[in-house]
Amino acid sequence: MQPMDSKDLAPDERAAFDALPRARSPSEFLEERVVGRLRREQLLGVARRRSGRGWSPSWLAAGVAASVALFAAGIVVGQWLATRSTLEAMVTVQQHSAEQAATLVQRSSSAYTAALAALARVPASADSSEVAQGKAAALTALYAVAEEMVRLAPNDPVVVRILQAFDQRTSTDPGSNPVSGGARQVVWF
Amino acid sequence: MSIPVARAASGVTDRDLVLSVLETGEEAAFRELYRRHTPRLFQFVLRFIGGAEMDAEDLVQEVWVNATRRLRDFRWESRFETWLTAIGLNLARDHLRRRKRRGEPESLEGDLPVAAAPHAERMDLEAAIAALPEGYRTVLVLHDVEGFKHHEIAEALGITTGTSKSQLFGARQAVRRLLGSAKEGNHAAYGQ
Repeated sequence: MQPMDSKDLAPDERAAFDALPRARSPSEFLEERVVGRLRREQLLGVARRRSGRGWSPSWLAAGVAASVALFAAGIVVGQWLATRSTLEAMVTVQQHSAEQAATLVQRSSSAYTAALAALARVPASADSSEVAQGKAAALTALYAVAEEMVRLAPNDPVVVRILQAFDQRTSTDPGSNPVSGGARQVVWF
Repeated sequence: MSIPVARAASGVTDRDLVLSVLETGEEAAFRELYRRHTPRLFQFVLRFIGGAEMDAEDLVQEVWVNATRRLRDFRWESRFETWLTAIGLNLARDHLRRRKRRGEPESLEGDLPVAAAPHAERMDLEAAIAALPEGYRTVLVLHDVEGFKHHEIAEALGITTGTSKSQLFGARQAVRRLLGSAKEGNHAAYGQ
């Protein structure tokens, strides 16, 4: 090796450095020591139970792609089912609403009639103001029902006559109008 | 810097293996990483600390433990091997500092493996490197043996590039003096 005054290495100096070994194997036990230490620190898992190698990146990528595709397919199918269900539900509700409305009218009419019958059976000794309140409520409801009926059946002579009777009574006794603000405001609770 | 390709014949890269270790703790993937990088890492640490094989093995073990703990933080902005070397460098420097505090000699020339250096000149060069003060040896090994650039050395050691250059200059001069003394000694011996 030639001594050099320059700060750069001479070719033979460079060659001497290049000839130095760059790799050297430690004792064969070191690998087991390292792996054992990492296992104890739970930095490495136990040997995989399934045969073959672990998840390679390509398998991971394929798995992720399959998951995404399955998820997207689930969304599409779910949306289709939801749309179909919604349409069916709307049709069903519309069909049922007429039936339910008719049923509600029947039930509330029965309740209305039964309540009036109960009011009529009240003994004369009962509180007259409470009976009067019930009678006023019954008339208001009757008027409101007639108002709704004329919307439903404008040419129904019975409904027309009921309303005419209410109008005639109001013209002779303004204070007797059961509902001055319109039938739809009949709410007691 | 001559770095061996970090890819086995199977085509699996270091990054693939690291991912396997991170995701599944797969031991086989770690063993592959270990076998790829440990010989170079061991030689580097062994040379850096002056030739004590047992200490070098302990340090290599610590390098792998530290690296595995911090795998998730590795950003792949440098080669995996460079990252390992940097961890090894820091641990080796700590080791030398501890040894110095205990009053042990800075280099252990007697531990240099003679069988691994069949040529007299290579043995002289290894011995000369081992005999250098730590600061000189660090920069010389990183630059002239491992092929690091001055800015990489400066970053790894937390010094300026100017300091790295001046340390390298001093280290080369010291090696030349040591090698010259060895040759004179050999000639004297042969002359007897």
